[in-house]
Amino acid sequence: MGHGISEAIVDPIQRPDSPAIRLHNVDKRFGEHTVLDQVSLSVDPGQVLALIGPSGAGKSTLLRCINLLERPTGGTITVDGVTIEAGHTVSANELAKLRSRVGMVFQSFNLFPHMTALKNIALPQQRVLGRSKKEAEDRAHALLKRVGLADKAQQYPTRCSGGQQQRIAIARALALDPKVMLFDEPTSALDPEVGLEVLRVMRELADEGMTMAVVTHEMQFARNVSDHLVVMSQGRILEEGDPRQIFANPQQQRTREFLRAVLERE
Amino acid sequence: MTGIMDDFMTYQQELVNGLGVSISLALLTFALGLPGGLLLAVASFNRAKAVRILAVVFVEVGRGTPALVMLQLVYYGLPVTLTAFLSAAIALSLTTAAYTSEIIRGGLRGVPAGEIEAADALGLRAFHTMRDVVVPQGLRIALPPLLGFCIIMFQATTLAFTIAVPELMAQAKSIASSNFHYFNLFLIAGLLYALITIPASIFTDRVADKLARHT
Amino acid sequence: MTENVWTFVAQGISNTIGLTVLGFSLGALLGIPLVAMRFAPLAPVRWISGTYIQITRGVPLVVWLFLIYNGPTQFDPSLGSVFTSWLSALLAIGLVSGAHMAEIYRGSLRAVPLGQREAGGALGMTQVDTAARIIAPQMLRTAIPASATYAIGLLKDSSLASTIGVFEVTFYANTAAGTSSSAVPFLVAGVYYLALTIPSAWGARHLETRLSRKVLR
Repeated sequence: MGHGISEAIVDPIQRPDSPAIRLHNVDKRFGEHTVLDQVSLSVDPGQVLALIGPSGAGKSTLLRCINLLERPTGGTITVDGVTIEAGHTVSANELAKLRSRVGMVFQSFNLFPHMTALKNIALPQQRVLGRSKKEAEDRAHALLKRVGLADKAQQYPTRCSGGQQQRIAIARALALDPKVMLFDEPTSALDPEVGLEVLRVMRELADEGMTMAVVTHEMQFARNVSDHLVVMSQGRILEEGDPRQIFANPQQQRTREFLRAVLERE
Repeated sequence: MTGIMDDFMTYQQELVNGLGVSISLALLTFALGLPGGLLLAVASFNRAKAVRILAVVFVEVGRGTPALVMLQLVYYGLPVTLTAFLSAAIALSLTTAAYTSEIIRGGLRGVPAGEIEAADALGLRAFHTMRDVVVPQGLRIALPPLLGFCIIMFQATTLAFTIAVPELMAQAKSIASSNFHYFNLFLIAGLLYALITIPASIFTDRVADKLARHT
Repeated sequence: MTENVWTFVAQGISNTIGLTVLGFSLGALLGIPLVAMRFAPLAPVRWISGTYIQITRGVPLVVWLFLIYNGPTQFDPSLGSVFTSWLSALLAIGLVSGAHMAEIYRGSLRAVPLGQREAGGALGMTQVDTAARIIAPQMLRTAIPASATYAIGLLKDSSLASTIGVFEVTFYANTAAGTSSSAVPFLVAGVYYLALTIPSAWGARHLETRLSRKVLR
């Protein structure tokens, strides 16, 4: 395991009051191009963070840095007590440890098309958590019921609507008992009505106390469901704080312009 | 025409036995070569550069060497004494592994990146992602060209006559050199091969159509 | 002996290349009427061409080689001097590659979007004009890489001509192996084939990327 400083550091002490997610000075550069510029933020346990901003602001990249789908070029990332420092080689064990704490939901669902809904949810539990098939399938059935798709267990993803697929994808992520859920524009590929089914599930999840970070274009969700709003532009945080306050009275000129443009379209 | 029919009736036993040997040789070739191709394809995605280079070299040499030369090399070159049949199966499966690894690699690459990313995010280990997500779908994508290649390899079993494996071509040749009915016997052999390859290629086209319609 | 093996087997290289180039050219030519027949308005014409392609591709090359080389002697032994090893090999390779080339042409024709075929007509171009100016150049972009790959395959398949006694690389390797009773000559032959095919494959890949870039532009 830990071989000095060349590997990620695991914080052995988990303080109960420590944030569920903490990013410190996270950088992401491709050569000359800067996608994320010294971004720091933290999300407390049970909090719902909404990330909004114009496209190309770096919201999705930031989200993907949290579970290291993107490797940041600088800074530190702490999730549920596991800290990863950028620039160091991350061992497979470290990566597994971090990812076991983080569930992720993608814009394009990314279900495995050759598996039934049930198997999509059960197989990762067997492989990652070592649960028995029976255990994993029981949990999968329970989660399908919870997202309102009890009857779709034996269905293949392509036979389900986009909204149903996304709900299956949420169940798949929840099945691994994550401490934190990341949502990368979960409703952007869906018709507005279908998106509502997904948003309802997300809202229930928030009400149950799940820690969530959501990149979204759904301003209603950002305003009414999230506890903390982060507005990003050009790889930086423009402003952050209470969502209702920011929507009512944005401090930055750029935030005002963005909100006006988005809200006028709705 | 009656001459051809007569020859077929007279030598039916030998010819059908020969076809049986051809088919078993092909089946053994697939049984050895296709898993080899899968292994090489997976190896070409390995994180270790040495493994990737080794796989590429094996594939390039295997594809660049004519099957006939591979056959002679294995038969005469291996330090252990194998039966002609086994030598032929090994040589043809080396060729099969090299070619099918490229076909399978194309299939594996056809699996959407988003799914691999999802598997990563779920915390699946690289081995499991490969085995449970990438390989099953990649093989499905690669199935039509794989079937097409198997038909080509079935035809390549004819080469085994050069090391005296008693397959169909060898039988036809030996009968023809005793009764001088070269035309009849090679025509019969050709028809027997076609009897298998043509339905097989029609079947392959059906599979390709079906898979294309489902995606 | 070992140094001699290299020069001895090398004697076959010119025949290997010659057989490949001529056999491929014959096939490339034969493929044109075959593919034209595949798109003929008359169903029986299409059927004949389709059947020819199926059968030719369905029968192994070795069988064609012996059928052409030895077959005629059943009827008249003197035909043996007409169908020499070389001519038989050339005919067999030409015959089989004609069927394959027809399929390659057909595939590349299908790759040209139907809209463009129709657009030519809508612009008032004659069928010949549309074929020559719009379809043919685009066909070539997909047909050339596929043909190159096929030609490289043919180079290896030409080794089968050794079985009817054409003096190409594998034939010399076989002879040397027989006299020295070692497998080294086949290793040498393998090296020669690799030396011929690997650069050709690189060339074909290079050609393919260059052509696809042209299409994108």
